[in-house]
Amino acid sequence: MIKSLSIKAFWQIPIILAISAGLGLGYNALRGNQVPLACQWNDQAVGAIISESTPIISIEEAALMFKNNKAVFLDARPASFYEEGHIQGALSLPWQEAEEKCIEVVEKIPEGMAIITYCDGANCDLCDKLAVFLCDMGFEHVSALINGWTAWNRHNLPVDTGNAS
Amino acid sequence: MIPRQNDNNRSIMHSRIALVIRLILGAVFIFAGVPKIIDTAGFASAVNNYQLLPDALINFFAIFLPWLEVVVGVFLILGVWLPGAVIIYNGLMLTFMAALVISAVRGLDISCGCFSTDSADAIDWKTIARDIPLLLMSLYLLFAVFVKNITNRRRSPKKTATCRPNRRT
Repeated sequence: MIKSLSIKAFWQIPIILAISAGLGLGYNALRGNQVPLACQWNDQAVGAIISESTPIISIEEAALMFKNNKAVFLDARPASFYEEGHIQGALSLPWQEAEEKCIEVVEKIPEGMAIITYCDGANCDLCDKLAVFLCDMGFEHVSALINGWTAWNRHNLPVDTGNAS
Repeated sequence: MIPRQNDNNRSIMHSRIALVIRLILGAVFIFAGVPKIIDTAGFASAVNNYQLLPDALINFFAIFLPWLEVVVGVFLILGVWLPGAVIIYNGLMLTFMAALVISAVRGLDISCGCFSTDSADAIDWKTIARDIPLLLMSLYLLFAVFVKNITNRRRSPKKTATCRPNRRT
């Protein structure tokens, strides 16, 4: 009995998978805003998907603001990552602890400075969440640097390690 | 006579329980799949956040999985191709559990992407606990289909009963 059922399952499974793949691809091809099949999950792609509510800042703009000392960087990653290395002068505000730590951290931000949140990997939306959170708290000049840590290193911009600052 | 009667009652009970569970599990998957079909891009982002799949597969997975959930859900409800559908259901539940546990252990702070693509639906141990009853129900269904053989009994209980005396004579 189990054998005949197993045989049934054996041909049913690939057909069910094929039907689903067909429906998915078909629907995706027909719908208005289709998702590209082979999308590189690079900075732009994620930036486009993640956020409508926070401005995404490019690495060039961020670097310029860094050089002119116009922005404070907030590291949204967990503290251990921050200690291993972070953007020079950045403050650590892990997303997980944002609610408890934000007041303490926010006090360190000089008035009039823009805030740029960042984390690591295009596949990380912590910075975006943190930026939205800060916006909700009433900060005006908040933007998110997608894939910040990787992009920062790629451009050989200054970094710090340890718990300083 | 009596044991056979008991047996019959039991199999009726199993197929009734299985029917209720099929309806529940089918509805859960349809309910989970539709929002992801509507917001495929958001779901792709959620899949990406799990950091489990290579980049090249993420979008295909995000396009494919919600439909698989809906198709399997519909099949469960209608009772079509139960052996295949039930195995896929169990496979998916185990995969989801594994992905959630891995993410929780790795301490990823990401959205679940389970029943919506809303990032407020974050992963924690509660999300994992929520899956346990579903997993148990789907395991029961596996048992009911493959061991208790509810699919065959459901179709022709009377025929087999009338056949028996014929065979004996």
